[in-house]
Amino acid sequence: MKAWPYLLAAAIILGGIIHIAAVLIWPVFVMDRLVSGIEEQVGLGVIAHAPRATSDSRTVVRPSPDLIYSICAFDVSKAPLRISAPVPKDTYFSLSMFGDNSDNFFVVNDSQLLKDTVEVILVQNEEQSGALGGAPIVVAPSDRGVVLFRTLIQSEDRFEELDAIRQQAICEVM
Amino acid sequence: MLGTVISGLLKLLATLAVALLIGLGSAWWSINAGLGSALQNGAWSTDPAIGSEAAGPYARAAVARAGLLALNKSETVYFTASIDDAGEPLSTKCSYRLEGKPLATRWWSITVYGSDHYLTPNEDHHYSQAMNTVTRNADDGFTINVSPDGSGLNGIPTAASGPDEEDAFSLTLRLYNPDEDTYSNLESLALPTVTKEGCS
Repeated sequence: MKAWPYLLAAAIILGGIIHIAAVLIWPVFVMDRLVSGIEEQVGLGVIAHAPRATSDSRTVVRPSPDLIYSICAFDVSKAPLRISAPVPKDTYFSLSMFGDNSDNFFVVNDSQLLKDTVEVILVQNEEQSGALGGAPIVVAPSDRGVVLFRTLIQSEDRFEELDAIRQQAICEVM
Repeated sequence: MLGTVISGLLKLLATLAVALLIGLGSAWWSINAGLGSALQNGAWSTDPAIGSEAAGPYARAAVARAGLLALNKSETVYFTASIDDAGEPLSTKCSYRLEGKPLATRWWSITVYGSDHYLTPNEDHHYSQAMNTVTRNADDGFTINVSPDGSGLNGIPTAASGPDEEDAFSLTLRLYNPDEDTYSNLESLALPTVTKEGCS
């Protein structure tokens, strides 16, 4: 009896399983590489202010050259993370958070903020948030991920002003 | 006896190799199929699930490959064009004219990316046009010229668009805080037309 039809069928079934596993793992792999890269460069829970994106920028694909980005990687398995930033006037600004599978689980922008400063505390779970007070609490869907601040360069004349404002943003392990 | 064992092992290894080739090859093809193949609007495509926790595994994998850290649609709608209005792939050897009407959004931008998904190298570090930079037409619409040297009104260069100067490139249209109507009209929004002007 010929064995190759059975081997081919086994290869196709196994190939299907590998396909599904690869598609599921890919976002987690890419995020882990990003978080680990930031951890190596500045550490976890520490904000980094990326220079304006150019063709030399290779940290994240398809960056917008019209925005300036600040980023911090988190691991809330041991302690919450306090995040705060001044909100620049008359331009787009947002604070967003991404889980370890790349999902954008939280975002707020300047038009939704009533104060001139945004402050939130990122926690692993409701229990961890019990002893905290004051700032709004955000529960992370995963222990690790990233916080990203976007500021639109409304005009080139305002670049230095907006760059200085974003450098006041804070990520702090509590 | 030894010959039978070796033959069996070789068949097993060959089966595993074929399975890996099928599994990883098809996965990589799916991941590289691009962002937003769910909805088509002229040359532009999008997937409302981009960045969302409701995204399926293929949309999530495509975002990780070609749009990592994309915001969910409540904040930003991303359209991508890798073809022109005639359905031909965008090429750095050709020039294109984009004609757009005012977009109902707080802020928009159109950015050129190389086949490697990074910004295209050029001396002026000029990669995009946006709501706050574009020179408008008399009717408040806009014309953007995307060409190898970035010449013309509101020009964006595409030369040296990726690794080894591959000739494929793509455009991303970002709509930040679009009007509420946008979400129910993603396929019929009046987005910029992408017309090929000529090729070298």
